[in-house]
Amino acid sequence: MKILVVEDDIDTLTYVARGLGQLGHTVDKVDTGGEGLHMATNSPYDVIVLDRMLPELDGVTILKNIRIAGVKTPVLFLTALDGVNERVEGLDAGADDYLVKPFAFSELAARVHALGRRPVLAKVEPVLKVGDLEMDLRRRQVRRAGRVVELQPQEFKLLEYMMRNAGDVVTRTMLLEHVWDFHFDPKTKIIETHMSRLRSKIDRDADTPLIHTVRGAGYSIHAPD
Amino acid sequence: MRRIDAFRSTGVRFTLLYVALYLLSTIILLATLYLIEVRTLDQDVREQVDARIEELEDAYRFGGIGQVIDDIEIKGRSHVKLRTFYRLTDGQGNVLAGSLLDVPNSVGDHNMSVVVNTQGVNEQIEIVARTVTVPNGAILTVGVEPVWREAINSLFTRAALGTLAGAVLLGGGIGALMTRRFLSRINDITSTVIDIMGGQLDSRVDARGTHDELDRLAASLNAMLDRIDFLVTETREVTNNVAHDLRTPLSRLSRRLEEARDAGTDTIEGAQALDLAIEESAGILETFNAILSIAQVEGAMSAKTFSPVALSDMLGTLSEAYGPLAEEEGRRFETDIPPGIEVRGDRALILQMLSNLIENAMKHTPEGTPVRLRLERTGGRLRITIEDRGIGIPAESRDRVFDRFVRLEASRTTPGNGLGLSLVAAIAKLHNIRLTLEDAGPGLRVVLTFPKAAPDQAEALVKAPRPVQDSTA
Repeated sequence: MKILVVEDDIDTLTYVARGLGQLGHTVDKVDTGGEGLHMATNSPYDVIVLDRMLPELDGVTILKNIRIAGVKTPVLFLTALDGVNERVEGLDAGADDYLVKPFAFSELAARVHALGRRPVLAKVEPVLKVGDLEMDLRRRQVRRAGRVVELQPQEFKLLEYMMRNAGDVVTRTMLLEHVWDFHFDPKTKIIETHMSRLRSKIDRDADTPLIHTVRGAGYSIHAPD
Repeated sequence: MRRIDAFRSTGVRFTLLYVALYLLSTIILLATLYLIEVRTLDQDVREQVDARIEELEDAYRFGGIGQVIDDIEIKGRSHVKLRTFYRLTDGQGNVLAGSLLDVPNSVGDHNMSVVVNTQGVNEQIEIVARTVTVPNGAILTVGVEPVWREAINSLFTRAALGTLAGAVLLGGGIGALMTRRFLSRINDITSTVIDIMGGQLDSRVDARGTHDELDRLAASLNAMLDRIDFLVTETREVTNNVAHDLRTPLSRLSRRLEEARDAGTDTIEGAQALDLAIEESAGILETFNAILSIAQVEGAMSAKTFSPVALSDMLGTLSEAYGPLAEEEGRRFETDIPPGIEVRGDRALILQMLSNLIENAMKHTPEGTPVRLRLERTGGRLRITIEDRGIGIPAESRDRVFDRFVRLEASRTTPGNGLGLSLVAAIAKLHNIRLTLEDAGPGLRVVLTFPKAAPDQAEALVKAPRPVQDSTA
């Protein structure tokens, strides 16, 4: 993917750009808001990573201008502010996702991937498939190798989110935000508990597991290679 | 800081204002007196003029124009002392008698300046005069010089000057006295403020016991200073706590990093030490984030993000999220949630508050016992009750648990940074929710009482006072 990173802290900028580059992406990095706005509106990107607090031209203003200019590229907002108001302001300005600093690189990479896939996700797919696992969104039914699997509503949401991002790593935070709408980190093992229940329902009786733990990053669902 | 610029001093301005008002009222009084006096005396003069004219008309009736001329000749001489002057002309304008020169021939009353010839000397004088026609066609003018005018004018001038001096002295004196009294108290306040800026935070303004506005001002100022003092102390305590609570993880972090360096990063021990170091730094960051979250919620004076929150649904989600977790740990999660209940608030914050309280309850309830979550409506108010079967919180500690970093002895050993309940308290306060801790015998019951829903509740919430933390219930 072609990714633009706008960040005034050179350390963070280098760290993020190098990491994304190692994952095989083409990365343009700029450290001023003005340049960022110029690049974002003049060349096509798959994902823009935008810092919220930039000297001179701040992230919210750039984001608004990008959207006014008609650029629909998904934007991941980096913010040091984790208040509800900041979150709402960022999303109102047209951000597609946000990430609170400090963050782990794996978290950023996972979110950039999820955003890069978004246009595909936007399509209404009545049935999601991963290997021999099928999710019928209309009938809200899940089948593994043709056998119906009974899921609790939150297990269904969890699995749906995983399957929509099949092949990619989804982090604990992404799951907390998208499945439970928790914009904070609970101190208990909610994710682990629900994930293990989901696994026992999906993977226990199957020969090959589909849900995988990615150590230090999160989870991933994908068909056996 | 203090200016000695005279016109900037409130005292001088007050005094000047006082003098000006005093003068103004005196001048109005004097002017009124003067006008009344002048009018009365004017009336007198007119009457004198009329009397002379009547006398001369009598003379005409008695002896014709000749008698009039004779009378004027006689009177003219003797009335010089009375400052009364005459002029008699025939129809053609020839002067028949009198010492007034140059008088207009028009009939009527005049106030004018004329020349009078007395004993061959011409003199310019002011007179009050009346001109009438005598039946034979001659024209008679009688004029009286209002000599009193000068006297009155000088009298009133002297009175005015005296008053002016009196006003300046008296008004200035009284004004200065009054304002000094007033200003000495203002200066008291100023010097208190200066003391406080100089570091004497316990300095206070004295009340005089007069119960006037200044006493009330002093009382409010003192109350404000007490509040600021409290906040400063609290901030200092929090800062100390932050420093204290971070010292342990930071020194652990530094030790782990040293271990990693000594073991070499390519060894298993080194990698483990690094992992632990990363974990430690994550914990430190988490503590900072928690402090920031509380600060943000406490600083959020605006309810602009408030919107309807489907409370029943939220509690349902929470029970679905935490139920399996409780089961896994051999506990139960019991709920009683009527459907369809909504409140106004910040969805994310309410969710976080409830989640914190549930996690707290799950942490403290022993294995095999339930955590109970109940939503009910009593007396028009919504109540959420979260109850565990743990050891509870002793009544005397219930107020303290909402303070930052407070961790009671019993939970010192469990993980946590002592900030969870502070955040709960801050969110409850923002929403004007009353937070009460009760004894569930055994265990702790946390009761959240929502404010009565008003049509414009969102606005009301912003101005609402600090929620009561009822520890006696």
